Amino acid sequence: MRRFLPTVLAGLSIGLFCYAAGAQSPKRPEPTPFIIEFPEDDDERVGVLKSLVSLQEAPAIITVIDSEQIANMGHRTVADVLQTIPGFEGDRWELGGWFKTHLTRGLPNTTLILRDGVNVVSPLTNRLTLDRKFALDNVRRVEVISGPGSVLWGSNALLGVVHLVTHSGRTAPGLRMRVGGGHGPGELGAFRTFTSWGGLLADGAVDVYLSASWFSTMGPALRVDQPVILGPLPRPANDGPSFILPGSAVTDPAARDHYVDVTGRLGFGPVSIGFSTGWEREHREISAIGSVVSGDLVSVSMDTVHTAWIRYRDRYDGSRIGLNLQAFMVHWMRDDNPFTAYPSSDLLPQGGTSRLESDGTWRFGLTSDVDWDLPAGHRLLFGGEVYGDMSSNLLLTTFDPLSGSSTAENACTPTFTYQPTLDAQRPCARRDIALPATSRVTGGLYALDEWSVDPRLKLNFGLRGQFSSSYDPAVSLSGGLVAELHPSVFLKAVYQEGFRAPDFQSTSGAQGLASLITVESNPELDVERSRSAMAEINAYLFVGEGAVREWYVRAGYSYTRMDGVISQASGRFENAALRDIHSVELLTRLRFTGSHELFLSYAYVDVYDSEFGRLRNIANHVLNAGGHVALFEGHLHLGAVLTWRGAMEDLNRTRGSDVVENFGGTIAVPSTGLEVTRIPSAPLLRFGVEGRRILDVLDLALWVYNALDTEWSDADLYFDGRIQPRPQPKPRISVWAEARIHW
Amino acid sequence: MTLSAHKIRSAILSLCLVMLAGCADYGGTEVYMTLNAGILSSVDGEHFELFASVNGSAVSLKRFTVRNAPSSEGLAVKAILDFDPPYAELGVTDSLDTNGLLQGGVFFRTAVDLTSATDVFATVELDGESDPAPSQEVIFRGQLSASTRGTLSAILIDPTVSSVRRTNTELGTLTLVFQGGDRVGF
Repeated sequence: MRRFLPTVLAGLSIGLFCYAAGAQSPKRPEPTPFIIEFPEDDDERVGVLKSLVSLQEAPAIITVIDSEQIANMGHRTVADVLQTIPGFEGDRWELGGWFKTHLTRGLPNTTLILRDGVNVVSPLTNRLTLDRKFALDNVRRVEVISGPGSVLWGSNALLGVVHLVTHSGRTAPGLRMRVGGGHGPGELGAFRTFTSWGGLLADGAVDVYLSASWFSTMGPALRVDQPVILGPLPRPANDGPSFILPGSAVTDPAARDHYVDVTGRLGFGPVSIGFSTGWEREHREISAIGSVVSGDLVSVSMDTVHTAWIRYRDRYDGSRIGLNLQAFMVHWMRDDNPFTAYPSSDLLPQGGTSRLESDGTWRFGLTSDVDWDLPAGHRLLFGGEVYGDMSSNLLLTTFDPLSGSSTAENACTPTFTYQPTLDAQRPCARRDIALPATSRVTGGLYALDEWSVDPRLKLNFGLRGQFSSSYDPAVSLSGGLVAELHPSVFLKAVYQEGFRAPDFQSTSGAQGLASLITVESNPELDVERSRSAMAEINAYLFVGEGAVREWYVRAGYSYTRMDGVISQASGRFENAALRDIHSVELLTRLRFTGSHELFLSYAYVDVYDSEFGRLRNIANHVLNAGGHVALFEGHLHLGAVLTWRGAMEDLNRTRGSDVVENFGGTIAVPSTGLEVTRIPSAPLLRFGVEGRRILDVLDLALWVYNALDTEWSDADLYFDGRIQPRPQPKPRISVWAEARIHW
Repeated sequence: MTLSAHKIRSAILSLCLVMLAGCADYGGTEVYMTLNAGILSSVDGEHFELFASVNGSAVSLKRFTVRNAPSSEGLAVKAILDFDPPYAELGVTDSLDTNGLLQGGVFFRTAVDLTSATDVFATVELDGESDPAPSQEVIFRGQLSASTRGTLSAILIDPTVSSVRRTNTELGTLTLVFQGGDRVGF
């Protein structure tokens, strides 16, 4: 019975609020499009759904977080926003924090990320880090679909879609300036500036928005419980012992991280142009294998995404037909120096390092979307896309760990050559092309019909065909119904399919290199697929009753089957794995008059993998609870968010095993020196106090993050004790103070 | 169209039934081993078979051979190869690689649930033999114990070495990690 408890709870919740809804006299006459909540969007459509529809009636499980909520909840990054949405777990760190990803229904890199309608997920790795590179001040709202979304959006929408809608001159008018700073073990010596200007020119004909932001930090101080100084490469390379130091170590950041973002948007009539560019320097204090390198090496990484787009959007025939055309360019840049890092030790006197660099990855494309209100209650959406992806050579430079500044020209270890110009301290090196220049062209066509059978029942059906020069054609289907069970109570039953194209590193990577790229690539890889059946019931309760503005409640269940999941188990990338995902998601938001609100979200997820069994390196339960109150006519705001992330397990090597041996001041832990570490649940509390509209233009804010100073960590994403042999520590408490001016 | 109360109740009941559908159980075990270079190499016509004792019965985990690996793999390296298709290399014995760094380890997965296993042992078996029972020729044996959380581990001992005249020879180590299992909980 205990295993069914989450689903039983969800079922009871549905029953309870159906009863409550039935007890209410209906106050909301007809479902009104949520778009009306954003009056400046009268001429736009809900970006992520490509149509004008209310949240209640949308044929998808959708959550929208606007800029007001972002400010009220003290969100710092898009990952913070996602953390509070049921079914998402933001900011999971991998490989020493080198990758910062997010989980959707328990799985990483399964969400399509859009910025103003443009896919910004890199085709090189199918990843995007949602860190400080995206200044949240530029975000007007975040639209999130829980579940596959490939019929509308194509590749990468395996388990979710996140759409970042940036401000325009109309939505963020005037001059905004922000400056702030913070400190604490969770964020040492941080500061930030942000400036934007938005407005209408030429008697309102031209809409301009321009912003620049700069965030800088020394990073967190992280405690590594068992620092690793040397370890084996991934399969299919031969396994070997991990060498772990006695005692623990705390990172001591030696260099400052910088994130710069410049974003702009220009609109005139039906045409709008947008761009976003940036610059980044990030320093990792923990290497990919779990070594503390901050005192020995200064790593420099850059991971940026630059976008530019032009859009034509207009409506015809009395607004019955809408047309959206968008041409875009995306450029991803990545440079990691070092890419891998083993600190200097008796085992490796010069340490072990490599560097990964390239001129980047490009995408150029064109999308078109048409929405057409047809007779008999049909609304047809159709359109297509065509784009090309190109990646330049990815160069891997590996430095001989056994040579130093005094090494003679003819004394390099075999396979390394003498190249002191690359690094005088490590003169022996080898350069390999880790990924040769590669490209592909992709196109897709879709059509979706939404049929209002009657005012209380809508049916929908959609179909997409995707075609590419590098993988077999992929067809995706969607369908469902939305039924109004009772005024303000809706039932959604939806079937959605998603797919993800294989990334370049799995189809074109070069095997046999010295650092971390040992799995054989497979140019015959096909897309990974997801098929999800979802049900949701939502309601608005107590609307306008006394002090209550409205109480929004939503509960849902989904079953998702993934197949063709790309696996490395055989030493070659293969479409080999299957996954079954069960998830239950609850969200409730209680809003009061005077802009006070409380919210609660809960997600339960259970994932079965055909290779690994039940995934235990994810949190089965994630609970978020928070609220915001505005006092003294809105001059004083108090906000808090408690995230309770459930426990998980991580397979690790440990020096506490019986099979270890002392080895030259370190502890050699063989491949059998394993434990299944239990990572306890983590309560993470943030709270803030803000004075707003001081002298009508000034806000002052003070936020505390991880206020309980919870010491917490992440499990690695592959339940593997070989490459990431210890849990990943995460940031502890920090304080942030900020002044905001708005003219 | 009006949705009657009956239809509403039916829809909710159906929804609840779908949500209460049971979840599949995944069992299985990951097997990690280290073997030192002193382990016997396989001879033609024979292979080795790894067994676990589960509830008093010997359960076969893997059939394998031990062959000298190419010199490009390192010094005095023996490769452990799966005896069954696709004849994959499961790992190598403890040795030095071509860069002079320590290497070694064997890994495979088995569908067998070994949470109740008490010991492991490997025997010499004849190729083509149909008898599933282990032979009497044991090359190593190890008693399993729960030394770390979530695992069972054993030191693999050469049982042919007399404890009266010489110390038992340790041939390697083995650790079992169990897949599936209960949800982790809050």
